[in-house]
Amino acid sequence: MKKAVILGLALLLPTWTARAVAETTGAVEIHAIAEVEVKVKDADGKEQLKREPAKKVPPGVAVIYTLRAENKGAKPADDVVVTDPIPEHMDYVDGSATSAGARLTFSADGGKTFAPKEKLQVRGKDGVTRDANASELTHIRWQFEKPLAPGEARAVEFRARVE
Amino acid sequence: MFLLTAQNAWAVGTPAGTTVANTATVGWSVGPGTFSQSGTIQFVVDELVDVVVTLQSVSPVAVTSPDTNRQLAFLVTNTGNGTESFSLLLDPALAGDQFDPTNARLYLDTNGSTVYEPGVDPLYQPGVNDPAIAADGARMVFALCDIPVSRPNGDLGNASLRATSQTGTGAGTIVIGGGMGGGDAVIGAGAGMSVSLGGYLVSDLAVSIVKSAVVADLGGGSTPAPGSTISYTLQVTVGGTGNVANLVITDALPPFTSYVASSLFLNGAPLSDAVDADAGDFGGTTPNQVTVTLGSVAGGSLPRTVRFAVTIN
Repeated sequence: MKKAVILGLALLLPTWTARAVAETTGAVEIHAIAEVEVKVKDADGKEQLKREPAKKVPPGVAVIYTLRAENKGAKPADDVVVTDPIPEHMDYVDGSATSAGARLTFSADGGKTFAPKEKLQVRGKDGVTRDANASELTHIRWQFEKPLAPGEARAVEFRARVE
Repeated sequence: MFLLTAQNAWAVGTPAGTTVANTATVGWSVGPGTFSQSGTIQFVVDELVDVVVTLQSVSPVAVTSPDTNRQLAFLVTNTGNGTESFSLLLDPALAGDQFDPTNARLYLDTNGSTVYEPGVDPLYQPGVNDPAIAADGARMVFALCDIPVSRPNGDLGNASLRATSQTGTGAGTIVIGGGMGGGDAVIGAGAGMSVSLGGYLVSDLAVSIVKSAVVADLGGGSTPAPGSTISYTLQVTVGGTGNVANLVITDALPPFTSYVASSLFLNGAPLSDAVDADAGDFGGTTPNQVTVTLGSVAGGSLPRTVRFAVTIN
């Protein structure tokens, strides 16, 4: 029983820390959402795609991640950069990251260097340098072209498939 | 229902019950100050249920009529991502064949061997010892059947093994909370079950080899003495109905003899001594031995003739 209580605290702590930081700086907050597309039938019996929160996902299914940055401060936020490591056990779905209003780059070396997807190279097992595959990407980065005004929120999105 | 794609056929996936967390970070600046903030979202990986049954025996198995305890080996592979128990069903009463194998029983392999071991591998009893197989693991299952009396040559009797997931069936079905590690169980593209078919063929196939030798001595006679050459002829005959699979003829050289280079012939055509594209070799497959691979040979077909020569040391 004691163990369960300690575990509960450990899970809650990061949330408190994040809130505390947001209050002191009073600025940009990021909110991550994970969803899956499910087929539902509409009134005419036609199949439609609907997004539902991803709580439990089987292997092979793509998860849609939406990252929403909101400026809760009183001043514009400059040089806004959203970075997301592709989670372990997941592969980036090629071409799925949105790029409107942002410079989109990727990393294939654990976040050390970033480049547009078509310029990203990796060294294969045979020692030969080649273009990186979508499944080899480790990070995605969005550099917002414009400052985020007070009260403004912008979202970016990508998909990754459970291995 | 989740959108199951073809990629769901992956044998190895993320283990069921794994928590996948995604943490995004936002960085920004206000004046000279730089700041960052992160947010995390997570989900649990569901169990994907799939199974594949494959026949491991050469099928059909050649049997006589009557016959007892003839074996078909099947491999049940858990292609899902969680440990899963399977119900097994051996069905000998199938349509499309000439007879039904009788006394059909299943035995579960216990030690990774490829043949049934009496007294070691237990009898399968549905609901009692249903095999639990780990993700990407496999279990060998032996089907043993008897063959009824008075079946003519060429009669076929089939038996199938079906493995069914105990969590559920039906592609795309979601069993809430039924997954290993706290997630749901999602029945995969294979519908949580798999069937494989094996057969027994009544056959009186028999392989016979007649070996003859002709001695030629150095003086033009037929005395076996040092320096004499012995030409051997092996006549291979397959009798009965059906096909003998993977027929390989081997013959070790007698003591105190040496193989005569390039003396190997099959049905009058020369075979090189090396292991290569042709059917035979000397010493390559097995040292000091002639090996000729005849492959699949039909019962009642013309005899095959293998010839080679040695000299007496």
